[in-house]
Amino acid sequence: MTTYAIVADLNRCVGCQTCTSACKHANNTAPGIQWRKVLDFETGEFPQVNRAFMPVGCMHCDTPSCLDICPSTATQKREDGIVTIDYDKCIGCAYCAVSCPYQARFRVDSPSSAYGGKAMRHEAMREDPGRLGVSQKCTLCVDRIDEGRAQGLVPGVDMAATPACVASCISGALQMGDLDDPDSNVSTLLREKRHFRMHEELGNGPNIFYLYDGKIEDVAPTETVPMVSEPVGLAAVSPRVQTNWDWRAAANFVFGGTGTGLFAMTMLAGQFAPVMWLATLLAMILVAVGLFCVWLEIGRPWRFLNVFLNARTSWMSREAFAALPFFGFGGLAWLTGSMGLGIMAALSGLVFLYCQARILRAAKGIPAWRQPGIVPLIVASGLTEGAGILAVLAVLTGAVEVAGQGLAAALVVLLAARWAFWTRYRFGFRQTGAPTGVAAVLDDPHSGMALVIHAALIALAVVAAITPFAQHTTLAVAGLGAVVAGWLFKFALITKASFTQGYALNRMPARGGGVSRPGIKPGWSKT
Amino acid sequence: VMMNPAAAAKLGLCEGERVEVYSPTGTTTGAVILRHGIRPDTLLMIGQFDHWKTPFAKDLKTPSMNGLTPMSLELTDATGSGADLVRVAIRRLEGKR
Repeated sequence: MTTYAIVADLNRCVGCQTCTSACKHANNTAPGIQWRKVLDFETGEFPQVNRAFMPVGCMHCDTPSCLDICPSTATQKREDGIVTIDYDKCIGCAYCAVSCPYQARFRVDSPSSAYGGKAMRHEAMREDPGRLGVSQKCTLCVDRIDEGRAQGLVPGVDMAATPACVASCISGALQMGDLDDPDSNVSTLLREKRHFRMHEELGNGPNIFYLYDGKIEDVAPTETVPMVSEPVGLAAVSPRVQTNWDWRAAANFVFGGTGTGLFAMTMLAGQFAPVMWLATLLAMILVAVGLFCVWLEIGRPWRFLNVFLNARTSWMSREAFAALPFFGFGGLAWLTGSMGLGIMAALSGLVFLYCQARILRAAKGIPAWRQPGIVPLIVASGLTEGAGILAVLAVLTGAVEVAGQGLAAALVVLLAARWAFWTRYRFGFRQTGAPTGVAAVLDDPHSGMALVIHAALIALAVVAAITPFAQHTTLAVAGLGAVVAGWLFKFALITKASFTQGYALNRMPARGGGVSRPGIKPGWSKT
Repeated sequence: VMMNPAAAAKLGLCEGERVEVYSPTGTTTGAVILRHGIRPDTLLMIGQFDHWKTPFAKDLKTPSMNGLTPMSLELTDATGSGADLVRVAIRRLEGKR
């Protein structure tokens, strides 16, 4: 077996960015895209300041969080550990980009060149339209490795078979080799020198190792990395709001959640009163609008059928599959007025809603999404929004005379449940910590989940449940409020609270004969 | 324009704020970058020659040392120009962040 890994000696790296240039040269990446780059960390205060440079890129993880989530199976892991992307299969949904805690994946939608306007000759020669609109990242220079091995060369030893970044390193800071060979350069270094891996607590098993100090026999301090909530001058390495999923992706969570919640609540209400078939039609339209929006977002829209290729492990594929019976049974139920078909559609819709929640949970690159508490919260919000819309519809169509009190009671329960799940989700950050920006976004009243808003909505719903004479207006307002609050929350969650993981330097490397110092995790706090 | 956080705090400047730097002979503008690793009495700018050939660099609105002090060939060696040191003053550009 072979497992290729990179070892970066933080004591040797001088931050010259030669590896960055070599990578751009070897892989012709677009302006602004750096598969390999070197971060610049600083700790301490003038005049006692430490600075360290940290090469990062795709970590070719042991259990990559981009692999299982890929709906098209475009991402694969080879026998030798290299994580690959099939540009011909990828639909450009960028789910992998938000699932990577190392911010190693990019999507470029249109050609661009270093000097604007016309491509320079070397750029024009190597233009690859197949790489537009799909996910891209460090390939570990897989072509150099494969060609070199075919000629009997050893990657990491023979520079022609070694990734361009490692081959170009001016100081020997970057080494690459086979971890499964106990005598390889990297195995020897890791046996002898103290080292760490970034974000090890997330469990990806990244394959870039960082050397920071002397011999391994000296007892290594095993401190956790101190979070620094207000890092000065470290904006480039701190979490920032992801740009891969914008309002179009948010719309799928907004309308998909509300639509499936509405269908389920309609069929539930239909057990006690005549089914409001109009509501089921609206529910299907909402889900369709959401899916249309997310279709607008993907980089290769005409390959969207590839979304069905990975139901085995990807919650995005599963979501797509759940949509089929939802629309199939739902459409037939609406045409025939069959309760049985309607219930089948409602159940499919609930599966769809659950898949949506799990999509966020599996997006390991975004701390505000990957919280376990997100799953019940998203499901409860979808049902609450559904009940809210149904309440408004009932008021508009006059069905409120029959179902008003029941709907109001359901709203009370669902609003309370949603707020309870929200509180649980929100307090989850006290254990794990979060990028500092997350708390500010979530606690903003515009994000819909403030206690005041929910208390007011619950009070309105209670009034509607116990006072029949005031039912019409109060129920409609409570229902509408429940919907708007859920929509605001999901929109904020996807587009504003979606800070990336950022980077962390677990230990400041020792300088010369000195000792290493505590590292830094900038832009994080326990809130 | 890289500067020390303590010096920036004294002047009421924050990270990313647009500032004007001026010398007896010229002026240039840029955004504040805070780093602890720089002396409090010193500003650092890496921009030179106004990047007139590279449109992207022009759009980055980076400061240019050449706006502050003319290049002297007598003081230039193979590693760069030794004339890139000049006494300057700094002020915030109001309303521009």
